[in-house]
Amino acid sequence: MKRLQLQRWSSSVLSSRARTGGRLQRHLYSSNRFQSTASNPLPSESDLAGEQSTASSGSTPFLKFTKRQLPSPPVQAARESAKLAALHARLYLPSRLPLETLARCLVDASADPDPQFNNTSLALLGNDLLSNYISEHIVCTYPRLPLTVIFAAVYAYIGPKTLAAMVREWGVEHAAFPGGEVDPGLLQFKRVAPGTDISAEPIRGTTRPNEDQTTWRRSITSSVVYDNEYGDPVMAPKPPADPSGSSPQPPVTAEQASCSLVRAVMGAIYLHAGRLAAKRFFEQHILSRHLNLSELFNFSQPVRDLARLCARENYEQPVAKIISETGRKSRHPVFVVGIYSGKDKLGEGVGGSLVEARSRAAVAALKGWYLYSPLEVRVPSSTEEPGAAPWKPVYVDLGEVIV
Amino acid sequence: MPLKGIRTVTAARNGVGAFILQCKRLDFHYCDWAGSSRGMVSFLKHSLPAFAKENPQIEIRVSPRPHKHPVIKGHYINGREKAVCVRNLEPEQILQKANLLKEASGEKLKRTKKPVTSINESVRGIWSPYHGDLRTI
Amino acid sequence: MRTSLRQVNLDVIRLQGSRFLYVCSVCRQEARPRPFVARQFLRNASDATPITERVRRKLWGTDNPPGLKDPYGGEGVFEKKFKRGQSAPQEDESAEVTRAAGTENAVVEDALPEETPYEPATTWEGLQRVGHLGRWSDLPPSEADAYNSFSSNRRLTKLGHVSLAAHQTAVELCLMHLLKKPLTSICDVAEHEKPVFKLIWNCKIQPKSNTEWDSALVYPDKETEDALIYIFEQIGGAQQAAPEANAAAEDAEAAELEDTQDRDSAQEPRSIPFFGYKYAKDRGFLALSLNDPVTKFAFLKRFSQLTGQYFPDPILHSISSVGQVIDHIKTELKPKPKKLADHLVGDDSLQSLPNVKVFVKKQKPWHKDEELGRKKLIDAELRERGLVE
Repeated sequence: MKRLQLQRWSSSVLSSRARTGGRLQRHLYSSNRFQSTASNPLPSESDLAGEQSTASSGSTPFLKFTKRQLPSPPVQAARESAKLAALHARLYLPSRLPLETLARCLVDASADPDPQFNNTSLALLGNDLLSNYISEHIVCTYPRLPLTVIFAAVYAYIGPKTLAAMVREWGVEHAAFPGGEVDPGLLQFKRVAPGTDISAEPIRGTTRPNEDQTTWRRSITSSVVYDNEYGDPVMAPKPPADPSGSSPQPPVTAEQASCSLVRAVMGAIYLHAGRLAAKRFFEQHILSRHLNLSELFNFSQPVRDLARLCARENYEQPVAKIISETGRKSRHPVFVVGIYSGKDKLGEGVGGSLVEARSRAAVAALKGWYLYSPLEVRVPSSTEEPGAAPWKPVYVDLGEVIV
Repeated sequence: MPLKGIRTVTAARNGVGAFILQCKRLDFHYCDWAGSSRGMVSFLKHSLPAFAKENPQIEIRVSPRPHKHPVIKGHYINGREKAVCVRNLEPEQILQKANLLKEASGEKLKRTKKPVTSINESVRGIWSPYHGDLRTI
Repeated sequence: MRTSLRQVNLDVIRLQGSRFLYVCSVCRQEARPRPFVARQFLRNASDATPITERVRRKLWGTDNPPGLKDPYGGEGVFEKKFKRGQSAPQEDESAEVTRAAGTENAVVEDALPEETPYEPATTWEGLQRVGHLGRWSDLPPSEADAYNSFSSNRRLTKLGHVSLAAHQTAVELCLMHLLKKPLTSICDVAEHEKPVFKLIWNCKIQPKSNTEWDSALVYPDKETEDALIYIFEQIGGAQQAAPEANAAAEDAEAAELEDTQDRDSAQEPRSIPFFGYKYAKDRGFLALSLNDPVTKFAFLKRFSQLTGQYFPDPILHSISSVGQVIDHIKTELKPKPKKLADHLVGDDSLQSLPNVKVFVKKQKPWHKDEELGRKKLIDAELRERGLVE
């Protein structure tokens, strides 16, 4: 992909500055709407700059009249919002990303159902970018991680809870209710009514076949095919009932709205400032967060797993040996157990009983195996740079042992 | 399934990647009539443009508050706010107060006994009595 | 000399002592000699040779050592002043000092009366009288008493009037350039008669190049040109017109007479500035250059005379064309905003910053509700419950 093509695409994606769809307020205030300076249906790339200048000097009296009726703040309001400009500077966003696009990123689909004014398209692109970057980073850095741990790690980096926390740490406030008069610097979404049980109804309409058969075994490998990047079921896309987009969208939680904000910002940066800026944003805001990967493992039978692993890798069978002990007859005995494969010590654990110490030692040995990381990590997306060296395939292990 | 992943959330480390200033908004209130706002009015006239330009990441709001002493109010990312009354202060002193609010984290002031805290593991490790050269008595 | 100084000093002190109770505190403060002066008196107050002098004498071994008499800064200002008047009693002074001050002293001596030994007066009799002692109003008015103000006493504040004044000045100066007369002599005529002013008003200025003032003037017709040149021939041109024909000289005298009449009429309060003309017809004068310092001075002087607007030095320095003069007056005439919010809203450096928002009104809780989108919910709820119509 060349950057030029990206730019052209970006302009076509973001061209929907004017509200062209058949909308409620268009019916109501059709005479007024056509007086708008920003009613150019499909401005070309060269028009974008000029349009921004006209947007700032837009016809305010007409705006005052219809602001309440608009589902989201008008495009012109983005230039006047101090909150939005401060957010732009606080996130170190590139200057090529205009304030209008940032304002659009803050409008959730539940606030404004028009896909030309909400952040759905940007969030879709941003989500793909985020999951691509984080999964390649995790897989290349820790090539032996089991699939479940990869899912958990991706969830920890770009899961909805993390993204919601990020939005909180960015200092983005939530609007009480979306509308045209609301400051465009606030995150706008229609809230779920208080007291609603979100997890009450079972998940239906996923892409997985035979989803009603709850007793069937769902293998972890099948979730690579059917599930999303965290291993959660993916909802199948519903056929759009109303193409004009005027059907009311279901309300969302603050967490979901925050997710779409971060993803949309990522997508907007990619479109406006290019791949390098998007990658920098990803490294600064997401990869820089702290995650201790060794805490993501939950072994049920580590000793058996270790035995299977040694068998798979043609090592000698692991043997547990006491390294030292104290107070065997006392109330608080401590055993230090090491697991050896031949002459090599694979792991060591401390426990109050011999079994505990052995399983801890096995866990340590398994983590030592799984958390291997090569010294020089290179991700596939680094070859997208202009003068990058050709891609050399990295070693990726089989993953977890099958028991 | 023998091995499961545990879902957690990554911890933010402000300043490791991007540094996000904790002060997100500063409100400047003044009174046009009262003499205690004299320094504040002068500050807003002359020093505020430079201050605002230095700190683009802070939203700055200037609004009158008649018949009250001038106040600078800082709003922070953790949801708290701090207000400083700047009555009868000179513009330079007000700039100091604004900088104070800008640099604050928004937390309540507390005494720091251990100035360095870390979520990283100790590099040196913890001493263990069960390892090393065991001596028999 | 030193004795006399000391006595003067003592007299002041005695004077203060005697009137101490009857002088108000402010006057007493002012009457008290200033401290540094007192210190200067004290330095050479005693007749005895100072210790530095004695040390010098000891070092040199003679009673008359070479070098400065007082190496620490010389004598005080007052002493020098006295010395200038009383060079005679200072025989002990070295010859060089008298030679250096020779000529000046000679001049001063002529003016001063004969030297008499100082004798403090005990009564006021025989002393020189200062002031009028209540009889000044009886004195006949002297020449210095009359005051003619340079400019009209009003400041023109309407922009149209200012441009009229600038146009008039430009036309006048063009004519003066044309006639090669001293430019500032136009200021002798504080105000023109109405027909003359109308002639000036009808003239246009089309500067061909930036520096040419004499060829910039465009007359509406030949008669106007002749009339204006005839009128301006007479202004301030008495000495130049003299070698010409007698008729011209008579004209000049007549013009002077007219001038005085003009001046008299200017004294009277003028009801309407510029005879009711509201604006200048022509805009070409704005492009005229003021780079020539003589022209610039003449222009600003005449302009100040006509409008009563003055220019501070830094502005004066930066002005290089007539347009800038008008621009400066425009900014001067703009009223300053009284409220800080108006000032901040008009401040470009603040408005250009996207993260600053200035509110003119006090921000109330409902402003916050409106901003968060909560207000319409509250409104709807209140309406639903019938609490708000």
